[in-house]
Amino acid sequence: MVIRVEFYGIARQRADTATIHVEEDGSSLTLGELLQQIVTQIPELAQDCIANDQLQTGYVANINGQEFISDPRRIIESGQSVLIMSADAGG
Amino acid sequence: MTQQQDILTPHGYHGRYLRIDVGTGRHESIPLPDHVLRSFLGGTGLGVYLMFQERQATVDAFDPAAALAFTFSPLVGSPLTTSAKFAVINRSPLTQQYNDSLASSGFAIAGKNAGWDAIVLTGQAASPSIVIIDDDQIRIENADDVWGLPVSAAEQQLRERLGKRFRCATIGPAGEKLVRFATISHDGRHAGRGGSGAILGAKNLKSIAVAGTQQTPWADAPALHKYSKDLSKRSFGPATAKYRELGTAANMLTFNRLQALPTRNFQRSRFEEAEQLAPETLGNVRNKTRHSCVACTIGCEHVYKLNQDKGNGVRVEYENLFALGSLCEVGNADDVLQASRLCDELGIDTISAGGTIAFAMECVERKLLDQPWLEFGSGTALRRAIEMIGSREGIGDDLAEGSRLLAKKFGPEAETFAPHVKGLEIPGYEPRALQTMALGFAVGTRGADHNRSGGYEADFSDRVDRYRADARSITEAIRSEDQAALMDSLILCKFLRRVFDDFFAESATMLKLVTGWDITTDELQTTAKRIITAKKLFNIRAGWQPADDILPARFLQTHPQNDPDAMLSSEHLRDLVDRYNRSRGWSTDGWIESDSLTSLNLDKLLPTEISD
Ligand code: SF4
Repeated sequence: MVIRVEFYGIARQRADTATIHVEEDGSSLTLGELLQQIVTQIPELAQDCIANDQLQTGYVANINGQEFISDPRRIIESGQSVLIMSADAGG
Repeated sequence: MTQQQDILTPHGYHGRYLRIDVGTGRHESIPLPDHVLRSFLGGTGLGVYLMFQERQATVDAFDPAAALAFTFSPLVGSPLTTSAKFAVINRSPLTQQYNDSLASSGFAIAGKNAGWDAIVLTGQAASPSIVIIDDDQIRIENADDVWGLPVSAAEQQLRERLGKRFRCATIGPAGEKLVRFATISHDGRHAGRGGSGAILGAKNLKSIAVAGTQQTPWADAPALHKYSKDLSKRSFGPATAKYRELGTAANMLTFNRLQALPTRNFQRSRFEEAEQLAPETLGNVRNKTRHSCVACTIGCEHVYKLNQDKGNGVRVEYENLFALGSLCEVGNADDVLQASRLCDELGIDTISAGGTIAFAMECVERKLLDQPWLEFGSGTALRRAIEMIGSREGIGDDLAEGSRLLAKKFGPEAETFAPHVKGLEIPGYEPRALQTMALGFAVGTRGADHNRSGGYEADFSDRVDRYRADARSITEAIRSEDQAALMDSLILCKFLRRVFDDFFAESATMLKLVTGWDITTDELQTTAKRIITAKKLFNIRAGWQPADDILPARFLQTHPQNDPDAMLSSEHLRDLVDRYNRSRGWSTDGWIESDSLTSLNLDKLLPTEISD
């Protein structure tokens, strides 16, 4: 399975890339597992963006640009995009 | 509370406001008793109280009797980060309803040090003038030398004339020409929304200059310093990283991806050229510097150089990029930055300017307006339109009235897509895709407003479904309004909000350290509700009707062309508004009943003939 991960704002600054792809056996994984995979690929995100299987305060995740999610047990299906972005949308 | 306690001024306050009739030069000091200060705090809370005191609900904004209030707060001048802020309060020439706007920096500290908790200007000077307040010395001087100058040149000239001790709040040519969305500027920051600059212009005032030597003491200075140090430390953390590193402009790509970026006068919610306007791109191709307001540890101001430009650069905010960029479909960064600078120099609110121009561009497209040069995507047209607004030349005279009045001129078809609520142009949050924000826009006392309601915070979370607002959205909209009412009355910067674990509890701590009041979280919750109810009551007295709490027909009948899921019907919005009203303790239609006034003590705090 392949999940596309897109970074926005500070997450993109820290990751130093706009997107990565996480490839795994099986047809799905949880948000918590995905976040751990992301940190394995980009250790820089372990500092203030991702801690264990959770996003730190100040960040949110979204599936396909539609639904915001935070539960680490939430299932992500193959082919979905997960967006990591700042939680604060103040302008 | 005993009478003895009531006449004592709490720490952090002067216990009085200054009222100046700029027509006669007469001025008076009016006491602000402890119970009033504790009930309304400062900033916008104290401002709405003053609007009632000055009986402004039925006074036209351009009438000489109109009052323009500058308010400070107990926290101004303290070591608390982001506390150097002031509020400007008036009945808006754009909405004809209650209006307040905030700005930061030295004017707040100097104004408070002059010995006043607020300054109220009324009357009309016979010729262009400036008001100078130097502690208790008040004078009005001729402003012929600065009249007509753009904001930064006028500020520079006033600095040379008055000396560095004075801090000035100044209008540009747009305020002089009574552009209904003119700003009041101070040191590169703007009290932006609702047209307060036009009121200063109507009074023939180019600027108000303040200086003073009267610092207020704090109730517990050592503990306040300790608390402030800790708050500053927390303000360096991840909760504010977005503002420090990219600024509000970081919203650009995020909103675009979420199909929440208003584009082409809200016909679309995605802009193909967003990448060109994003700070991630701007930062790669231009020099950038970072600035902050006085007494701020965050520093969210990102100033970019224009190409081939030797000037000071342009402060870039998301709202400028959206309003002058995607909303007008202008994707060339230099065009947008130049347009932004033009607005700053003329003293024009960028959101209302962009909203009104984008609306006019669509009118041209639909052949409702015969100005073929004014087309979407043209940076030249955008700049020309802004210049014409600032001088009220040609079509600029109509554009300077804002989208609501312009639409009235073009007829019912135009009214369906004029992008405003209650006359205030909609900021950069697509309400059909951010429906808690849509509710916030509809019920906002200032009109479509992302600063007095932060409904978008819930929309950017899993606490609500941003495409299908429900009861949770109502709770979130109210929570966000209450928090904003308190923040804007203290006054602290909203970009600090995620630093607090429990903002109301920490506000109680801050107030205790500054004023000495033993204040509880519950009392502050009531204070926030009182302030919001008072603003609504002002609007009712100013002619508000339930039908005003609505979005334009475009938002209730169509979806953005690129996002069929983003639908919000008028029945659904009406239902949300009705339930919001009941949750506030008002009638289903939004009228305020006497029980509400009594429970919030507004029947006693406001002048009797108004609260009746
Ligand atoms: S965060 Fe930005 S707007 Fe807020 S006080 Fe600091 S510099 Fe000013």
